[in-house]
Amino acid sequence: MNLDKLSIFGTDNIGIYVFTNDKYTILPKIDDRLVLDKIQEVLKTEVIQTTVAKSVLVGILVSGNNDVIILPKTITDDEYQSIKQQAKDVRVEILDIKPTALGNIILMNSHAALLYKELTDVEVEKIRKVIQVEAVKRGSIANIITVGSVGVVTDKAGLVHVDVTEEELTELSEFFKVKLDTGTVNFGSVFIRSGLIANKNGVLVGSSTTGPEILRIQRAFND
Amino acid sequence: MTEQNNQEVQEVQNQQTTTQQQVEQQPQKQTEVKQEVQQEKKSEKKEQKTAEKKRAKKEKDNFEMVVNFRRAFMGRRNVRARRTLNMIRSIVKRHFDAERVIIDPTLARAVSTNGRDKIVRKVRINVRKVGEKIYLVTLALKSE
Repeated sequence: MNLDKLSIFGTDNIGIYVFTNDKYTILPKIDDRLVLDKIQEVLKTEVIQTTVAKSVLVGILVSGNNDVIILPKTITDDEYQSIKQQAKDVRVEILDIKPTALGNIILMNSHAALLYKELTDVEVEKIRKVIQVEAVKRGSIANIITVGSVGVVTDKAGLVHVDVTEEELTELSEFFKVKLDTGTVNFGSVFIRSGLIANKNGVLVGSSTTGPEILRIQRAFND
Repeated sequence: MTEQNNQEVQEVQNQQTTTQQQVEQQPQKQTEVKQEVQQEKKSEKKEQKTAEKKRAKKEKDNFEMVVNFRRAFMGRRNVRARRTLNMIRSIVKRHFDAERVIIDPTLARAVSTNGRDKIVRKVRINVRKVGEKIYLVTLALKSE
């Protein structure tokens, strides 16, 4: 597994700008060739450069897994068409619910999806229809309700908030059907999604992530 | 006379040849000396590299970080020093996934240099792994 440090737009919160699965990586337009090369080299995916709802915060606004990419209702037609044209191997869907920061409120892989606690039943049903995964439930991680922001889960492994209890961790592991571990990124940040991008090929971490943190991340994402 | 002259000429010729040989040998010696110097330099470089590697490894083993005691300063005066030590312990546990943290007595003394009420506001610590999930925390001293 490849692991590398990265900073985008001069900040180490790389996860808020980038969404990735095993096939595609969506990120805003970046002029720096070195950053793009590093992303392609480590994640080994096709790169789609676009904004979402005229914003560069793609990682926050987009969620998904290897079968589906879900976009917020605020996305413009041009952006939707460009993503749909370039991402041919996956379904691209617009989710019409009140919250738009889908990356923050949905934590999902190909087996399951954990949702924001304050979604209504109707919204949960809509999400269930769109993402079509086996298990969908509402919940929280370490008493934080924006579950998407405090964890990263792939089809192989995952990393979640450092303060989760052992019972919670085993429960989450059984739910997502992968081995999960706890850790921090960017010198103590518990918002894992903001500093870590991962798929089955590799992991990118924010540039201020320390050595011991990288060791924990490697332990979590290695086979 | 002629014989003597001949001998002198021969001697002179011999001397010339020896000087020529010496002149030829000198560059050889110089090259040998150069090679030796180069080898010495190479060995020095190697030693330097190994020393750097060792230092880097040491630095890698020793993780240095700054702990801010602002939160420990809030609250009751007479438990501040104790609170700082608990704070160090919890921060190291969280960052390194440690189960046991050993705090060096010099660090404990350094925290309460000005008394247990007026604790120092920040401290630079050195964290070293000494066992499976066991870490030793010492005071980081500025090295010249």
